[in-house]
Amino acid sequence: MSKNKTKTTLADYDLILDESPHIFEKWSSQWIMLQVIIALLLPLAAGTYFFGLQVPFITGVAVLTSVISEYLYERLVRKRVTITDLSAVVTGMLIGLSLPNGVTWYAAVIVSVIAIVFIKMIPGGIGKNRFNPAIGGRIIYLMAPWIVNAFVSGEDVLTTASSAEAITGATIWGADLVSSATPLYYISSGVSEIPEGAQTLWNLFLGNQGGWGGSLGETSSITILIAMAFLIIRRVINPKIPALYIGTFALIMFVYSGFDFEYVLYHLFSGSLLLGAAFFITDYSSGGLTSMGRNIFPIGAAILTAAFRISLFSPAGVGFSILIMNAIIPFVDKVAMPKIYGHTKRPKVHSDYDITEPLTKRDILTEK
Amino acid sequence: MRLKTKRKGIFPKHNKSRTHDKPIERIDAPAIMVYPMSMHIGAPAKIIVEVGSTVRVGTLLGEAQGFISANIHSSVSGEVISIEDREVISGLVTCLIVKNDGQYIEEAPYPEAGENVAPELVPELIRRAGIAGMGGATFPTDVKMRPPKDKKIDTIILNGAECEPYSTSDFRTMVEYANEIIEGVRVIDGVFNVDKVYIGIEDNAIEAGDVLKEAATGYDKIEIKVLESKYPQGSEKQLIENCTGRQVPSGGLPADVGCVVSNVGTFQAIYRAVRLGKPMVERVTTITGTPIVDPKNLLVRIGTPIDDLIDICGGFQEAPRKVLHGGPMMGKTIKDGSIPISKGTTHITFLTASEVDDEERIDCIRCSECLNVCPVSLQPILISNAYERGDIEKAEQLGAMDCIECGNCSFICPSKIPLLDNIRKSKTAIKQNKKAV
Repeated sequence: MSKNKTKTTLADYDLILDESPHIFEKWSSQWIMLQVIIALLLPLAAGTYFFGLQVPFITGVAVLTSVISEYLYERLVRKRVTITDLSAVVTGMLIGLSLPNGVTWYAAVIVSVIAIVFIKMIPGGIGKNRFNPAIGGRIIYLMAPWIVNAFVSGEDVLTTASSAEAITGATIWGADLVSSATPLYYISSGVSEIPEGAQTLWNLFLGNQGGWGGSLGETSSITILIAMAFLIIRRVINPKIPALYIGTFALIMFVYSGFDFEYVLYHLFSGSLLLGAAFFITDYSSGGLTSMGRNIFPIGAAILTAAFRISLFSPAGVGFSILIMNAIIPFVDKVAMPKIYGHTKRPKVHSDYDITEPLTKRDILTEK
Repeated sequence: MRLKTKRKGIFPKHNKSRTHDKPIERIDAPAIMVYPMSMHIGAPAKIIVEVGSTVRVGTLLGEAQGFISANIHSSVSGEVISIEDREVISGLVTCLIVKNDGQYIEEAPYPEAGENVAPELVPELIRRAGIAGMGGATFPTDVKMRPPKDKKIDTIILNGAECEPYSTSDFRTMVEYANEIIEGVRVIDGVFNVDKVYIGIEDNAIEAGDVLKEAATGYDKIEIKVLESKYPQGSEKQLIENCTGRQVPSGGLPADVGCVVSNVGTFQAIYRAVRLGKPMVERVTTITGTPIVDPKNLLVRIGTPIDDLIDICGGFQEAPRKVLHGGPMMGKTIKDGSIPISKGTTHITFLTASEVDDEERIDCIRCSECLNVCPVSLQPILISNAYERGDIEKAEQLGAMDCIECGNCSFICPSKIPLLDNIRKSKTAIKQNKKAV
């Protein structure tokens, strides 16, 4: 027992008072985005290997445009600038990697501006956008020629979309028509077995498509799978989500093809299915919030993707199915709120109740 | 076997290794002791001594007022030198200041206590001894022993799941006082004659389970439940569900599902009260954290100011920035070193400036992590959003009142949103609204 004058007391120290908890998980939203960026470097590298320097160029343009448009928008509406959270970089990379071989740089700019300003920022910015910006941008890119054709030439492209021309939108974006035809083209629209002349499965897996194309970042399945594994290990994405998506899709295709395993793999390794599984259906903002929502989202998206691939034109199947689920999932989240401990019923809020973070925050207790 | 548990939680660093193997050390009390009249949940005790009164170890200083309240005893012998209002853990409370004469002259034990106490006398002795839950919540224990007539108690649960980081006081108590704890269980079993006794511990305290099992040899009702080390495993409601599969209804008490749950230390205190006739005047507490040179598990007389424990543990090797009554998840910050160790002080944690996180909040990215870690399955971000929108009614509909304030949501949030703060404020606002109506 120290009774001398040098007794240590709390009064000698500068102590702070605040509320619990006092420790926090060592991670941040910025760190999460950084992990996604690291993961995306792999498909980016594969794209560069197979398609050349246009891939980093186009991706760079998309990233730059995304970040700049977020910055300018936030300055314009006098909101806090949030570009340091790196989410705009992720969106830009995803847009770049979703665009097809031979795309022009101004197409990348237009798509990025639309994605960031109209799909992400106007609804309120990160966490408040119902639709996935990169997917939205991609769909707009794919739809643009149809819209233009429909309005300008009066041609009903949807019914004549059996040609690669309509799919790739050569006319308005100036893309190289032949090199952009994806392998998926060969197995889409009702084909239930792999036709002669299609790419080998192994080439699809590695990404060596002999100049055939596909989107810049989705050409090599193996790199996307590695990127997905990285995000799972880093605990950034929940493995359940891509597993449910890929699993449900594979099951449907397996049955549809009369149990042709090779056909299923062909579908898995072509088009944007894996990229969607790793980066789009796992998106936080536009995905499910509740655990039920997070189960239903990938299952629903898989069913829709399969339906698109079986019955309609293919290249936008993944994107469309994700957008449709984006629109549905907030309602699922409200109906499927988790049952609180000690309660027999789920909590209920009205379906039009806004569950997003409010832009202006109130503090009722201090207001009084 | 380790039991995987259903309820969600988090896995913060345990930080228990520095005191895990250190035996409990009994220390002398300092010259000045402080006794707040509220060291428990419920009504404060009424002072029954005066300035100048001579007291002994075990002398009643404050008498329980009302059904939910607890007696306060002196833990030293000496003289009452002052009665004053002071800011302590539970707020502004009247405190008795006693000058310790260093003699430790004890009051006579309760004459009714002993080996053969009638069951109906047990709650009375527990109340007389001023026992309040020693796990930190400090609910008066005798109230648990008097459940409503229509509730049949069939299960006793000992809470040895010490899930707060840094704390090893329960672990050491289990290892070193296993026999007294088991004897305390027999006392309560004598009151309710239960079917089953569970002892819940985390798998980082597995030795404690072995010691308790040995102490309970031949006592077949006892089962040790080794739970995974996960915060908040020691939360009463989760523990009940993990042991019995029953859920306490919203707003209810453990007695509603036939359970009596108490901290392991409380059972030791029950043993001392009922078998030895001694009031609750001391407890085991861990003094720990990076700034402390020699962290220890101490057997401290209740009422010892925190300032008097620092040098016993070697003083500071680094300046503390936060001092916590309890642990980093639920502990309350302290600035005043004259605040005493009370009945619910499991540990005092000191944190350095670098351990005190203060990152800037950014927008929610809807990662769902707060839902993934909430042990009572709330949607913390939605309650927080409702509060910040000014919609108290929605906050209530979303279950704000069911929050157990464990802090998991704020802990995990990558955007550093003060989720628990907002939920706490919602609860306060809801209560204010109820009163206003």
